[in-house]
Amino acid sequence: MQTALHSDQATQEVPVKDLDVARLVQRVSVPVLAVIFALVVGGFLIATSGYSPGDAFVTVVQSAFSCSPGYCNVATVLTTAAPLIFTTLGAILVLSAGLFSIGQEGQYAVGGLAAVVVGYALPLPDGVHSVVALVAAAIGGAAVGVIPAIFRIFLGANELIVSIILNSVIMLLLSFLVNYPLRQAGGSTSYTNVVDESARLAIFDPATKLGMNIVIALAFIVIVWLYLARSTWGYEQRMAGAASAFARYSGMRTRAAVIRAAALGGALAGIGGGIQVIGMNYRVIDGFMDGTGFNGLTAAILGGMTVFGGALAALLFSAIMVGAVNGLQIVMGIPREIGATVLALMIVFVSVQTPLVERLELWLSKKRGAAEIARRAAESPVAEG
Amino acid sequence: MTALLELDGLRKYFASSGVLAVADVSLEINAGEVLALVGENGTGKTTLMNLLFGAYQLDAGRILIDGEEVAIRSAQDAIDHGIGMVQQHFALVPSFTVAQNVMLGREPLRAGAVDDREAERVVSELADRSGFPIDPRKLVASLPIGLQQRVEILKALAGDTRLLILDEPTAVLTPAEADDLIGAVRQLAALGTAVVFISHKLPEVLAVADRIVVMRRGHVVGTLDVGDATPATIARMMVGRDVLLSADIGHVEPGAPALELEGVSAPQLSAGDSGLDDVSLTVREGEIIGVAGVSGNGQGDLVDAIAAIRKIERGRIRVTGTDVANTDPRRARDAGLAHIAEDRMHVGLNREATLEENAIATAYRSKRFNVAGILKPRAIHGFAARLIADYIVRGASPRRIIGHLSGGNLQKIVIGRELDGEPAVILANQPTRGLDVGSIEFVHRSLLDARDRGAAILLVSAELEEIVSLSDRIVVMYDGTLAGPFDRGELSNEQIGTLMAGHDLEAVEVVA
Repeated sequence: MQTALHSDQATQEVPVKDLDVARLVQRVSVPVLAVIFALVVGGFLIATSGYSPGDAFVTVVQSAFSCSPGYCNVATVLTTAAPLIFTTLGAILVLSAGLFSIGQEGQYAVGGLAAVVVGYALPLPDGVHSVVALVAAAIGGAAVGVIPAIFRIFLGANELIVSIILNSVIMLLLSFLVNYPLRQAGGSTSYTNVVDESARLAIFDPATKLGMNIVIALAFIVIVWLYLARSTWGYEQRMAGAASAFARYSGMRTRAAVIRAAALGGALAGIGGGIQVIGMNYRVIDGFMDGTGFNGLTAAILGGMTVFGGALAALLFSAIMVGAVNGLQIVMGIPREIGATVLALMIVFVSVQTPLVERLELWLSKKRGAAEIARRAAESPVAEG
Repeated sequence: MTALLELDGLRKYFASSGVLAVADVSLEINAGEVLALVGENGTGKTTLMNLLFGAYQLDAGRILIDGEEVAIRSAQDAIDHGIGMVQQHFALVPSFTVAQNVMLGREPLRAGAVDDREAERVVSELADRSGFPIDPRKLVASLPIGLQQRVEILKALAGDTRLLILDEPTAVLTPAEADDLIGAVRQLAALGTAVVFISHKLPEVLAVADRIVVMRRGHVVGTLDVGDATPATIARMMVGRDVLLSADIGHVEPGAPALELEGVSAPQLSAGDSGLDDVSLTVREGEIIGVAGVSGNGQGDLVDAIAAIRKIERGRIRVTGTDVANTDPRRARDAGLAHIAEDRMHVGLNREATLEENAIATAYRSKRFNVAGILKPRAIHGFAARLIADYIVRGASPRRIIGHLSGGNLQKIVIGRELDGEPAVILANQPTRGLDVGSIEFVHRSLLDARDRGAAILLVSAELEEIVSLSDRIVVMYDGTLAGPFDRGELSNEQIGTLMAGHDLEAVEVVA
């Protein structure tokens, strides 16, 4: 009956395609342009320090992607990327629930601490041991992750500030633990015991520690994508994040969804710390909080808050970091901070995307409008009414 | 005589949505004339005016003012050419006074500082001259919507405005405020200002306009002098077919009680509503109970209490026997409630999400759309595609973001979702607000169909016509209390009006 009502108009309908190509191109092109701009500005910075940007670029790329029989830099990039992918995924999960918690750094640290304690203190068999260590890391990260959410939901506190303070608290706590209760017996420097062999992840390449760490990270990219795009929980948290009144009205439990997202996001960042410990370092040192959490947040934003985009950004970050350290610093003697500057520039360029995109849209729509009108005019003269 | 404004062959195509929003529109308007622009939602009325006001750029055509072609690239260009526009959504600074808002960007200066006294004088003079009296010293935040709109109009008139565009100006007004506005617009025209009045409320169009331009799907389909126009002729031009303006709704024998309220009381929450005071009401299967009343007399609180969005202090609310009071919307929906929310832009829909995601919002937890927490993409896609087809949602595709769709098409998504699965109880709060004639009829038909198959419907509307024409029984809400229910036809519109104004109920019943 309802269809019949409008059937005269229905005959004129032109089906709209599912894939919005223009939108897709736009969403991809902005971060790509940001990366290119940042590299250009980085090259300019290198030039002002008296080096050839061309040489520097070649050096960075070679250092990040070259592979010789003895030492493969690509493997180093992947090893570096493994924990970063986790903090990136953690950031995406919590941000997409509308909670601007930037506590990934602290969650990462607590995850690492939990994994190292389980790793050396619990006598467990091979295989089981590393799983238990990662579960402990996840629980530790989740416990930290829910704090800002609970403060926000039940007390109305700003989650951004709570998470920043938490990061500072955890940094001091970690320093205390590593220097006193968890300090390696008889050790002269501030680091913990090393984890048992049984807790360590399998390694394919001993020189770079490439092993199960990246395999697990890649698996989690798919898992998190499935969670967000294909699960009811993921759907709930995305709706609660984008339109909380709508979510509640529809019958979603928005508070639960946000707390769940905060816990799962924290768990992912925590696993990142765990992967670092049982996959690479085997212990926690005083400087464990090295920015992996913050870089994850940055990669999440650069990746447009999408899972695959964020993962790609995390890989790119790792390549630039490795390239800047191994290449710029060791080979050319250029300070590695240049690499960090380039990363920061990418964020700046991404954040100015909105006005740029608007200009682009205006220009494109004008162009297409003219073409479309010419096409329609050529096809048939307008005849209605 | 040269027209004040002439539009010649205007066209606008939106590449992002593939819509030719304005397709070859030509029209002219003279000084001192009120031109009503009417048409269904999404026919390009607002787009056309935004072209004129510089918000969008023309793809083809010419704009002539006093016979000279002009280029309008920005709102400032438009203002420089004497064009002022009041948008549907106000852009006022609440913490500023009326005068400060009106003079924003053109403040009079004295010794380098803003001269508020002078601004107030200028605004007060402008207000008196143009027939929109207002106290220029009042804070905008303290003004009711009708006066805020007046501030917007004065803002648009400040400067040397010869053409004023009003986009759906009465959508936010009470009937009395709308009448005032119409009078003021007529007076403004008498003083020589040309006015473009966008609306789809036909009675007010007939009251305000000299000429009526009807648009459909981006084209002008006709121009009528107001003397030659009747609501039926305009409606026919708008939709291209005859419209049933007053429906014969038939009758269904009501069944068991499906929605029961007993002594529901709730404190006033926001300044906009009045709370609930001992409200009792039973809606049975197969009947529509209409809640008449001036907005802000507790209707919002009533709907939110039933939907379990807000808490109540006392009383019981049962949906198909389950007490849902003070639970949450999930409980209420699980008990069989569907809810067409008043605010479709922010509550009824998530405009940043795809149509699929909006379509399953109330049913994603059912086995139909998920297995053990994993969504079923094919089932979801099928449902969304069916919703688009059944409800003729124009310009939509299942996996696209719905943000760009027009109000009527967005409402179709809400209705399609809420009426799916044969809910036992339907809460319809202002289901046709801001919609065009065709969409309104569609919504009414959908509600009547739902009633015919046995749904209990509580219809809240500020449009008395809508309540009277659709309801099997009517209650009238005033200051948080209910009068009635009254049977269909038991009360005259005048009697309902008396109840709406809060006058003595007994006196009215004696008359009845």
